[in-house]
Amino acid sequence: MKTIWRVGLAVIGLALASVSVAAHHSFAMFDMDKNVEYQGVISEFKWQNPHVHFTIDIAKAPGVDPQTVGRWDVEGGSVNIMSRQGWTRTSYKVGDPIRLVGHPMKDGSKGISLFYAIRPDGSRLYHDIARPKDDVKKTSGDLP
Amino acid sequence: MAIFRSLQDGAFTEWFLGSESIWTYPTVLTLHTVGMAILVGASFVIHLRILQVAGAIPLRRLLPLYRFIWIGFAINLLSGLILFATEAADRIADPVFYVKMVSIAAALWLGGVVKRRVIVRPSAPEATTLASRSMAAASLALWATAIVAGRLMAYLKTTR
Repeated sequence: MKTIWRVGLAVIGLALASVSVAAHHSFAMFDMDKNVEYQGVISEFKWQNPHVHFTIDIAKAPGVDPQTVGRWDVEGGSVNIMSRQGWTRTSYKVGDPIRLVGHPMKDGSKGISLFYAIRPDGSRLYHDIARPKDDVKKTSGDLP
Repeated sequence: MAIFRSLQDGAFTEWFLGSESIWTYPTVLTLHTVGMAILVGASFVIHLRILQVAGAIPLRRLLPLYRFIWIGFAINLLSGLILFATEAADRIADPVFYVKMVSIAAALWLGGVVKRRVIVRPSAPEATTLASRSMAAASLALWATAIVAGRLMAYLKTTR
């Protein structure tokens, strides 16, 4: 019976280890209560599963929050989830300007969980079904 | 390396990963999970029995479970090859991927040894020996390692 207990403990230990790692890839690593506006230029656009990713470059400029300057990795949802929000593989291409609201990484590294992108006409392209309280078709309220 | 890079950057990968259909990437990933459940689930039942869990079940009665092990393995080999192709260049340079592959190979090999020596052998005593219990425990540990490594691949990779 001792062997069984040892094996059981080992399996539980491994399972717990994998759970804590899985949590790392949930949205726990992002500060989901913080909505930050970023305005930059797309330098890479990867329309692919399991997560759409794009990279934006934000240059120093008047009116640009210095804390947002640099190259950021923006993570979206799966292709299927985002396409149901109106995204397509041609929504943005390299070189396009982009304005978006996202949740920054808690640890300060240059990663963002996409909340929504703001199109030139003010309409929003959401990451998924999450909506802010002031959800409107064009920019207004507390959120950009 | 060039072949892995061309697989990862090729038209198939672009179509497969960029498809909006749930019948492409989501389905293959789901099949990989279901195949793992069948393969590792059947293997766990056999090896837990050797560790005297449900000790009243005669060992030879476990033989049909090997069919499920191979069905699960076939599903995962096919789905795994597709998933590998889409990240071939990254995976081939990923140490965690090798931990997973070596664990799977060792678990399958050990499973074969256990089948021959413990399950099929006509004179196998129902009360299993320390050697067979050790092999069963090692098999459980190898499958657990393979699963954990498989999950870690998504979180430890340096490229995306």
